[in-house]
Amino acid sequence: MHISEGILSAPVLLSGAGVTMVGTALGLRGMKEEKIPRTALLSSAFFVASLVHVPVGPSSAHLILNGLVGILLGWAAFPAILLGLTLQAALFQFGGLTTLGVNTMNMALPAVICYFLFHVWVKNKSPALAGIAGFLAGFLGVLLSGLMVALSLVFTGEYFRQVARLVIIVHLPIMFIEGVVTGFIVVFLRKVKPEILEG
Amino acid sequence: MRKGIFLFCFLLLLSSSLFAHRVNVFAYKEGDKICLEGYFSDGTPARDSKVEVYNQEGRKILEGKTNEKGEFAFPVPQGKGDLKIVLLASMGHRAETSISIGGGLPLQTEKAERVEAKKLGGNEIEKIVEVSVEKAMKPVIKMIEEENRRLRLTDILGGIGYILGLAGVALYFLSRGKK
Repeated sequence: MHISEGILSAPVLLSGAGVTMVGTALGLRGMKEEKIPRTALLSSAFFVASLVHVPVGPSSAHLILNGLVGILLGWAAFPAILLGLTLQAALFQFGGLTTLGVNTMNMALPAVICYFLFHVWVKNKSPALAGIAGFLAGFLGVLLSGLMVALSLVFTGEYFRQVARLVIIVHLPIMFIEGVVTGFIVVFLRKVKPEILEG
Repeated sequence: MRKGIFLFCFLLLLSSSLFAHRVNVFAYKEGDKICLEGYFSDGTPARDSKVEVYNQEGRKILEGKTNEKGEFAFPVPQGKGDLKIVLLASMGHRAETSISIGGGLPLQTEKAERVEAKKLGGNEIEKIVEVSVEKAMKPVIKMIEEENRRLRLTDILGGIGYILGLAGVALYFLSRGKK
């Protein structure tokens, strides 16, 4: 999911950076004091999650957890993911500093979309419904990110459908794993710390 | 909070045996060919990936695709200087490396070795040298790999430290502003 440096053209990089800046500003403005530890915790979870690899046929893919970050943080997913990605680029050479904007957009925008789609549902009285909402958030987060990566690469001359198909096939197991992980975490949080889902 | 820490340790444990995700390219000269291998950091070869070769002036002189094992080879081109080799794997992964060609020294030693080898009995000697060099290199390569791995764990912990530290700084300033 991390696009490397030197692939994308300047307009794509700039629009990615623009979206990320707006998203981060919105996230920071809405971030209240009591939300900071939670944001930091999810930012670190995101930072570590991408080291968890799942071999998929010829390639391999890693966890992203952007669905989880999204439903728990809303717009604050932008600063959380931006920070995680910055550290990943600096320490592991995932992606790169110039592609930071695009990569953040590709992972944080789906997170925010998941928030708006599912944050009401994860608070649902029925644990089963909440779990399903969590599953869908985890699943959709990865799926949308894959589509956004494909879309970013279109402008480099790669065919959208070809890339999209590849990204999605490779990440299909990841979507299910993240769905299950996110679903369980939601059900678990509802039991032990329901107020965290209110944010 | 305790549950959060638990989840965290779980993720850390999972990651301890795992690798960073990026594509690497490794190029070396073999006789009159330049060979290169592309692989992801967990060892899977970057198969069917586009390879572009640029000369010293930055002009593209060659293009190709890696095979099933992530390998690609091309004859050493004319001229001198550094060749830039770019590997474009799928899904936006890219890596580059450079290799210098036409420099006096490496080619000459190679020629000298060739002559020597012929005198002593051709291919067999070459093979023997190759095998013993590989043997000698193995512990070194292993050491480097282990070193990389260890660095990674400190990187992971360092990254988490950065995040928690930043959160601490933010909270500190917010709590000061209130008073």
